Amino acid sequence: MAVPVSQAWTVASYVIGQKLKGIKRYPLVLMLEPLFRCNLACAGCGKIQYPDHILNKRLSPQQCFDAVEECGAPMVSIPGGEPLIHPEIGEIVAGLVERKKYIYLCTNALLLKRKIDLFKPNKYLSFSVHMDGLEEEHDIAVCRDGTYEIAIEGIKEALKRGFRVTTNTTLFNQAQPARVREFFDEMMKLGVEGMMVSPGYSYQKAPDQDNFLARDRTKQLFREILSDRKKEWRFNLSPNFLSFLQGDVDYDCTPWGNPTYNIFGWQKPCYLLQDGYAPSFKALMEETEWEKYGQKSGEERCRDCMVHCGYEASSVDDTFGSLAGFARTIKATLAN
Amino acid sequence: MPQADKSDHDTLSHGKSEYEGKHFHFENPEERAQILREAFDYRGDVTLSFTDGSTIEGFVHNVNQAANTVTLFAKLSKRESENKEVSLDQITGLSFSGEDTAFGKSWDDWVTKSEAQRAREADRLRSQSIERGEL
Repeated sequence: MAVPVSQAWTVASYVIGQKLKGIKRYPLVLMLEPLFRCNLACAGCGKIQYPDHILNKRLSPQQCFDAVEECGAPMVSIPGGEPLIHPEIGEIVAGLVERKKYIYLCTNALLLKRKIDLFKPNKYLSFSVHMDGLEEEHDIAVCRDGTYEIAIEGIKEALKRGFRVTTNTTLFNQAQPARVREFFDEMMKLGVEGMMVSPGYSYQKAPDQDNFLARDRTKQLFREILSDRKKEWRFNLSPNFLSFLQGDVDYDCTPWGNPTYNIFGWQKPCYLLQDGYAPSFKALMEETEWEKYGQKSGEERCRDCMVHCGYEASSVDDTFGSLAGFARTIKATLAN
Repeated sequence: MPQADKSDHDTLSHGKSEYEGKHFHFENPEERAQILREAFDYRGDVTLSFTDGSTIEGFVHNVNQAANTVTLFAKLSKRESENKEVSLDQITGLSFSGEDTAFGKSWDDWVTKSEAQRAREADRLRSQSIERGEL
């Protein structure tokens, strides 16, 4: 199992609780972006293309805590930008641990060794290290040589100190299944708790469309990577999401599953699209015209998207939504 | 690498940004609504002109037609800004006055550069991060 039992139990009880209360739309993971500034400049990354005065802005710890409490999701992912640049990241994480939130601190790990003393190993905290493949692929993807090696050193240090460490990987259309499989082997050898993989976001107007995967190619790629899957590979993903990526099950998007909060407010409708901002989580949930989003809505920007931030929540909801969904999960767990 | 989002430009950026440097004086509410939508998608600062002759430069991050408001981080200096909400119907014009920070930053732009250009750019960005104490 790629997550501790306590985390799985917390998430399961939360989702079942929402279902029993008859709540149709509920958040699963809060995407908390405390800053947009990064110490990498990956080509095509839309999170860092802002004027300096915007890149210099930071959410305060109190703003982060308020957002977490307002949202109520049991898990919080802290992406960015690079969160370890935030001068108060230690305080933010400590506050979220105190609130018993399961945290994925998404980092490129360039500062991990230097900043690691800001944190204490805890079941609630995982470093989710951005790794886009083996050394060659990773350094190309992040547009800087030497990055892979530094990230590996960071992972080793964090593991040595007893932290939970996972990896997160975005796969693009040039990904070679054999190399990705080799990469999974390497990560497992390092001893990470689990791996998160997601296809890149596919959208007609995306800056690097040729590089993003259309839906069918995504399924083909993931079938090639995950068929005959090795038993020792551990994924930090729901088994149904892995089935979805391989085209074995179809879901529509759950854009409210991973609501996003940053210096602009609550982002409508999801982590990837920016159609405006709501002043509160309640306003986001009530005012967003959710039926306009997701693959089945016909919205062209959602047409080819199979990204985890929209479909992991669909997979989890399916598990607890019906006996058939639960059976699917069991079957996928055994098959995977 | 994180996902792309608000960026709204061609796969490969040639010449110059579509909007950077352009100025619009609104003839009617429809034109104002359309240009403000572009300003919302624009990854640089814009300068808004108002009926009283004043101007504000900043980064537009919300346009709410129903509430008749535009929200922006108004620049106090090159590195600082404050959140400000203005009435949409008081806006008479808009200039795309700041650099389009998304322009030329696509993956395809990157891979069409020579190896030497990429190495120089990577070094420059790395040095800037070090100067800011981020590496």
